[in-house]
Amino acid sequence: MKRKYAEIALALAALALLVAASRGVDGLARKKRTLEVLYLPSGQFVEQASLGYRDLAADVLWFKMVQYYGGYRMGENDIALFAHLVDVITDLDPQFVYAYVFGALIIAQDLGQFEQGMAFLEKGVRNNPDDWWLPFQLGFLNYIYARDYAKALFYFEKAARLPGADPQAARFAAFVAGKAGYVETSIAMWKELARTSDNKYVRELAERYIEKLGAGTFPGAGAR
Amino acid sequence: MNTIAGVALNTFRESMRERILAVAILFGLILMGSSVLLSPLAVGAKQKIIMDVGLAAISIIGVLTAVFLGSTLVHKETDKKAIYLVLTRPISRSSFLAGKLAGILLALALVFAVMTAVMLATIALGRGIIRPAVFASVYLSFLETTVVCSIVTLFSTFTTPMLTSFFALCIFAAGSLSGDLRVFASKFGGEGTRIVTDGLYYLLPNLKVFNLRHEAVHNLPFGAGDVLRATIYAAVYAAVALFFACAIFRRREFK
Amino acid sequence: MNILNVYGIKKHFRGDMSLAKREVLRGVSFHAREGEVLGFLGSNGAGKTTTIKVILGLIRPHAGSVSIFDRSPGDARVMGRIGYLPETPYFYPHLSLAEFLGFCGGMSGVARADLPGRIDRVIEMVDLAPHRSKRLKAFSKGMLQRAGLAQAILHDPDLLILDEPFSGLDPVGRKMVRDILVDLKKRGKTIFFSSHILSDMEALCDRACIIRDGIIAKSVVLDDLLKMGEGTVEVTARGWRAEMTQGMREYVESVRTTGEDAFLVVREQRFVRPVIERLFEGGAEVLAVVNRHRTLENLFLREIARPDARTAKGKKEEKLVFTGF
Repeated sequence: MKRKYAEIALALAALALLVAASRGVDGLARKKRTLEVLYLPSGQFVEQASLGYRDLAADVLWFKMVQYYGGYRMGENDIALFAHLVDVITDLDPQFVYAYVFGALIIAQDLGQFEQGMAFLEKGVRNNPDDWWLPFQLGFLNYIYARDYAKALFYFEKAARLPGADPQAARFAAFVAGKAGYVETSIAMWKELARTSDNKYVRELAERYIEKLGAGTFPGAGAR
Repeated sequence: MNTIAGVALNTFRESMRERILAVAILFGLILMGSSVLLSPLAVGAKQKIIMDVGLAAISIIGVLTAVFLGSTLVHKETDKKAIYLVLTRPISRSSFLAGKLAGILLALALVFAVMTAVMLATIALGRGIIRPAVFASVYLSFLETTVVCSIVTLFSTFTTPMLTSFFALCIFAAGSLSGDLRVFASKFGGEGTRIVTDGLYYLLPNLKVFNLRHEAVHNLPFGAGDVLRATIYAAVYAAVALFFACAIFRRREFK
Repeated sequence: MNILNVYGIKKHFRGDMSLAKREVLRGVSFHAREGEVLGFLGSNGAGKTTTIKVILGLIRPHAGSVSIFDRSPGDARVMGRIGYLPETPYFYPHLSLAEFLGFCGGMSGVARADLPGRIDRVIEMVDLAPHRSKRLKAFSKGMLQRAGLAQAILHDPDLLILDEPFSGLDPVGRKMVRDILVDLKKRGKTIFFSSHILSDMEALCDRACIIRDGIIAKSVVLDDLLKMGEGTVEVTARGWRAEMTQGMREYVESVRTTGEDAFLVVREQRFVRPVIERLFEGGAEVLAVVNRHRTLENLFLREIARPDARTAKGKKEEKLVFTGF
């Protein structure tokens, strides 16, 4: 009888020890996670390593990217390597449209690199010439960040013409073509995005913009 | 002919009672289930991830099950001398092997069917769209498994289960990389390297032709002709592997 | 008519680690006639199982030939007429007995319609009826042995090749096997089996071959064996001297001495009395009087004990003494 209690106690102690040890290395593990992103090799290498499962590998990296960005938002790390990450993701899966869309937004917004974001979207268009969302995003970024209304209108109309286009494209084209000013139009666009996006970061961003735009201050991007 | 069917049915029955099948299916269910559970974390790529995981799980589990089931089945029989009872009956050694392979494929077909049903359920749950390309992709994954199975059968005629599994998995990896190594060698190697890699390239199974996962997930067009060609390739490859397996098995002695 | 002809079979194996050849069969020849029961005797390692595997086509010999029903081993045309029971049988663990027999029967060419009836009958014969739906992995050694015999007779083969059919069975089981074999013999089947249980072999066989060091050392017809020495009596005496039985060649076949004791083989029962009287007169002591006939066991043990031409190892020497009577 006593033997059995002793064994149970020993088992529990062993488990407790294990948990304690895991917590002890937790910090190290987290550091390694960030390092992993740092040392992510080129897209071609990852391609080979993932054998025939490139789309799945892209998804795994996507999860990593989400964690990485989430960490940045919580102030745990920077996102210097964000662009490289999404570059590898889209090398693995060139048809991963949302990666270009979200990636370009963050590159323009948080990294403050508008041109790079544009280039990224253009890579997406090259690989997905019939997808409406990419020119749509090109239009959106041109409006919000570059305030290039002509280009924005051009892209929105292009998007609206593509097969399977969401009515959002036509609506945004109408916003730009309308007589309303930058602030009003921007707020309308952000409101629309907040309503339709299932990405919580995008919704948060939209709300922030709506608030700041409404208050008359424009939240700068990165260096500004 | 009915003796091949007899061995096949018996093998199928044996496979069904092997625990590995239940484990494989369970594993598949867990993978696919977790992809649905984790999908909110995917921030925007939900449908893609569910489908990617589903198709990849079917493919990987199919291949792994084929390798482990195939490598143990023939060996167990030989080891346990149950094989004496079959080989001393009016059945040729070739028919025996063919029946074994057929039986394992039947069992794998069942595994594929179950996992495909689960995958379709998860896609529906995630509010994705089920397209014909998805079925074509699963079918091609099954062809891929057939090729791997025939390679496993070949190795199992002359080596241990462990080595059989090891070689089969190595060949699977090499076959998946297929053309890339060849391109690499042609750029950096000399004439000798080129001949060797060319030879290997043609001998090793070209598994890329069975990969329709990308097209299925992104709704890209695919040709029915490609599927047909892949089917013929799989049939030929499996037949040739089986041919060599029979040749070795016929010469084998059972001390 | 000879159903089974084995001629000059030679087989060597290469050791796993060494390059040295190990000759297992050095020219085995024997035959089995239609309808006879042929026993196969030999010590462990003498080559019994190897010979059987050569006959069945599981192993290829380096020299010699085998013909079964006038065809080569492994020929599908004749394998359906053969029933084989391997040594220490082990089957598909996940199948039930009925499923297993169904598979075996189907493979041997039993018609689908006949199969269930045959299976039932055979399961009854080997007394495994209560276990028909149990998975084979739950079977004990004895049960597996019976299942093995069942699959060997299921398709009503003309030739039965059984490797140690009695092993692993209790006395009840052994009787069952004996009865089955007797019944099969009555129906004209040919049976070739190896065994260590010589009394069973003696009771069942028409002929027996003894294999030793890779060749058939002796072949004997059992009826003759029993006749050999039929009616002889062995008298054990202590203090015997040659003079005592001088002139009794007619009565005494042979005398063998081991140390102090002498074993006199008296030709017939009626000669025992005068021999014993002579012994008493001479002052010898009679220890035992045993009615002796040659058994297969004696024959086998004597055969084994003979010095081997190759290795020149002899066993305990018996002095065969023929006195000058």
